[in-house]
Amino acid sequence: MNSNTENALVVKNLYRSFGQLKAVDGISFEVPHGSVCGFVGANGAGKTTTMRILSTLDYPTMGSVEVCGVNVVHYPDKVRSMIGWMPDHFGNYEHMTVIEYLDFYARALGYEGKERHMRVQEVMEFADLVPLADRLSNKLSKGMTQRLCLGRSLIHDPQVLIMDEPAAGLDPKARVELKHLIRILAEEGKTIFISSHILSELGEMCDNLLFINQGKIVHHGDAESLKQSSETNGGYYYDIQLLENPQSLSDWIATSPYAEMVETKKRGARIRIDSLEHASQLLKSMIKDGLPVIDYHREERNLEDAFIDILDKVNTPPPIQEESTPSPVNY
Amino acid sequence: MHKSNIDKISDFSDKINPVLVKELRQGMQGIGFILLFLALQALLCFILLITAADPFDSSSGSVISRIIFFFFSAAVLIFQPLRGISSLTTEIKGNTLDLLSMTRLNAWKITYGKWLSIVSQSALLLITIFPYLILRYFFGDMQMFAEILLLLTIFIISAGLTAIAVALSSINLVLIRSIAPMLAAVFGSLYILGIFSNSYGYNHIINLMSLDSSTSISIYIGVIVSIIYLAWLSLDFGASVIAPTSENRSTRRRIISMLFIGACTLAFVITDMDVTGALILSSIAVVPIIIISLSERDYLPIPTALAFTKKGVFGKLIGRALYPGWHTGVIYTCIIGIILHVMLFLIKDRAYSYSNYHEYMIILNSVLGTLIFPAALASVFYKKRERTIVQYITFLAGSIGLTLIVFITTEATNQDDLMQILFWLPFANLFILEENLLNNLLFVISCINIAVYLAILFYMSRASWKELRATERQVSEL
Repeated sequence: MNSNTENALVVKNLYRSFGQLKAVDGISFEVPHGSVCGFVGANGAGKTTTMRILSTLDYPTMGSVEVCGVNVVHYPDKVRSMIGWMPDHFGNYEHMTVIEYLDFYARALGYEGKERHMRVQEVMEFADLVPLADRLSNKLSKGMTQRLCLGRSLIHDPQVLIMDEPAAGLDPKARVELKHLIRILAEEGKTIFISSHILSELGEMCDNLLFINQGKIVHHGDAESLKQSSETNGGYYYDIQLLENPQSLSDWIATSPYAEMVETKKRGARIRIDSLEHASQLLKSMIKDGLPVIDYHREERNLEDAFIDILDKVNTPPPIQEESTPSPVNY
Repeated sequence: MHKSNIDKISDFSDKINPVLVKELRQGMQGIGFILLFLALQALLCFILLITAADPFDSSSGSVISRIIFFFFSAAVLIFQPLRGISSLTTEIKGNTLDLLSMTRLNAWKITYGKWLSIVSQSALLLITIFPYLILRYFFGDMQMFAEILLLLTIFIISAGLTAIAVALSSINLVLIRSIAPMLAAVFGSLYILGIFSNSYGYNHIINLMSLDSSTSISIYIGVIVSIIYLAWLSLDFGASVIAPTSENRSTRRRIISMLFIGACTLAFVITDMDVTGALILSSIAVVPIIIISLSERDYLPIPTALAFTKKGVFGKLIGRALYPGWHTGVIYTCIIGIILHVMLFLIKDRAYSYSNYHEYMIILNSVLGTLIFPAALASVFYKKRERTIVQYITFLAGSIGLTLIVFITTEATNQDDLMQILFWLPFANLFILEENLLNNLLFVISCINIAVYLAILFYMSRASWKELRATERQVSEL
C-alpha cells in the first residue's frame, strides 16, 4: 500500500490496450482530496476505460493507479469500499421497486438491520427518492433513474465518487437537480471525478478539468486557466459598434499590425487582437482617431471553444522540417 | 423513514444471500413461476379426481404414481432448469454486473443466489407434491421408500440441471446458451414421457430406487455425489465467467476437482469397481474441469501471483498447474491424465486380458486427446485473441461432428478403411477401436496424437508463460 494519501486519485503512466487499439496511452494525473475534477474527451477518447480502471472493473496493461493511496490492482476490494461508481448506462431490474432496489444494494454492501434501514433512508432523502419509493425501478424517467443510481452509489458513503456521463440524456430540470446534488456532495468533502460532454456545466462545478484525446491527456488545469490559455494562444475577440460609417473601422483596422478583421457587421465589426496590452492601446487610439465608437466588449470564450481549439492544435500535424530530429511531445 | 417503508425492506432476514432476496422479490411479482405452480396443482387435482372415480381398478395406484412423477419431473427437470438459461444473461445484458461487482458480492454469491432462487422454487413444488403422494397411498400398491427416494432424487437432479443452465447462461453464444438447453429439454421431455408412460420403465426405476444391495447403495451415493460435484463445478464456471479479472476462481476450482478426482480414483482402486465403470465415472469427473481449464484466459492477477510466490520455489512450482489460464491448464490436464493412467494400471487385473487392458488405455488416451485437441486448435487459430470457451466448444463439436459424418459414411458404404483416414483425430480413435482394426498400432497412434497436440499447446503458450514469469518477477519486487 502507498502512503501517499494527499491525493484521492493518482494515475501514473497508465496504458490500456485492446489488441492493436491503445485506448489509454500513458496518461498521468492526480486529483486532490475533496476536489471536483471534470474528465472531458470525445467519444472513444479513453474516458470510460480510465474510469473503469479507477473503479477496479478493468485492469491496466501498464502503469499504476491508486485511490486514496491504495493500488487498484493489488487491493481491488479495499478500493471498492472507498469509491462510488455511476456508469454511463446501466439496466434496472424488472419487478423491483425503488426502495427494494436500494435495499438490495445495501444488503449486498453488507449492511444489516437498523444500519441498513438507516443507509437506505439517508440516500433516499438525499436523492429525493422518498416519493418514488414504491415506483418500479425500471419505469422511472431518465432523471429519476440517475438520482436512483446516485443514491445507490452513495449507500456505503464512499470517499470518492466516479461518475461517467451522469448528465447525458437529462432534461434541463433534471440536469439542474443533479448539479445541485453534486455540489452538495462536493461541499461535504467528497472527491468527485466526473466525465461529461456538457462542458459549460463542468466549468461551473469543477475545480480541475482534465482533457483526454486519443488516450492522451491534452490539458490539466482549472476552467479559467483553460480559457486563458486558449485566448492567449488564439488572441482576443472584440465586438465593436460604430454610430455611423462602419467601413471606416475596416479601413482603420487594416493599418494596425496587432489586429485583424474577423467579420464585418451592419454597424461595426468583430475583430481579433493578439494581446490584452495591444487591445488597450488600440481601443484608446480608435477613439483618439475619431472613430464614432458607441459600444465595444470582449467576447467570453466558452469551454467548448477552448476544447475544440485544443483538439485542433493536437490534431494538426506539425510542419515537416528538413534535417530535424523528431522529439517526443509532452502535454 | 416511514414505518411502512421499513416494513417493505424487512421481509427477509439479513443473513439470506442478497441475490436470493432480490430474485425472490422479483419472482413473487413475476408470473412465470406462479403459472407453473398453479398449472401443476390443477393438473394433479384433476387427474387424482378422475382416477379416484374408479377405485376398484387394481392398477390405479401405480397409474397415479406415474402421473404424479411425470408432471413433477416435467416441472422440475424441464421447466425449472430452463428458467435458469437467462439468469446471468439478464445481468450481463442489463449492464448490472459492474454494479454488483462494486459491492461485497463476489461472482460466486451472485451465481449461487441465482441458482438458489430457482431451486428454492423447485423445493416449493416438491413440498406441494407430498400431499398427492399421501393421497396416492390410499390407492394401495405403494413402495413408500422407493417412491419418496425417487422424488428426492428427481429434485437433486433438477438442482444439478438448474446449475448447468445457470452456468450456460453466462456464455455469450446463443446456440450454447439457449438453443442447446431447449433441444435437451425436448429430448428430456420425450425421455420422461417414455419412462412414466409405461409400467415397465416406471417399475425399473422403482426397483433401482429400492437400494436393496450394498452395490446399488454405493452406486446411488456415487451418482448423487457426482451430481453435487457437477452442480458445484457448473456454478463455479458461471461465476468465473462473470467475475472481474481480479477475482481468481480457477485455483480453488482446480484444487477441489483434483481432490474429487483423486478421491474417486482411490475409491475405484479400493473397491471392486470394474474397469469400464471406473473409466466412465472418471470421465464424468474429469471432462468438465479439463474443458474449463483449457479454455481459461491467461491473465494472472497480482494478488494471485503474490499468494503463490510467498511460498517460494515450491509455490511457484505449484502455480504452474494452479495459476489461472489455459497455459497452466495444459499442465493440470497432464497431471489428471497421469492420475487416470495410474488408476487404470492399478485396476488392470480387473480387465479380461492384457489386450483388453490395452484397449482401455486407447480409450483413455482418446478421451484425453479429444479434450486436448480443441485447445491445440484454438491456440493456433486464436493466438492473438482472448481465449473463450466458445472457441473450444466449436472445435470440440467440429471434431466430434466430423468423426460422426465419416463413421456414418463408413457404415453406409461398408468401407472400413475410410475411418482410418481420421487416425489423427483422437475422438475418431474410439470408432477405429470399435472396428477392431490395428489395435497395437492404434495404441501408438493415440499416444503420438496426445504428444503432438500437447507439443503444439506448449509451443503456442510461450508468450503466456513469458508473461506469467514477468508477473512473478514484478510481484517479487513488491
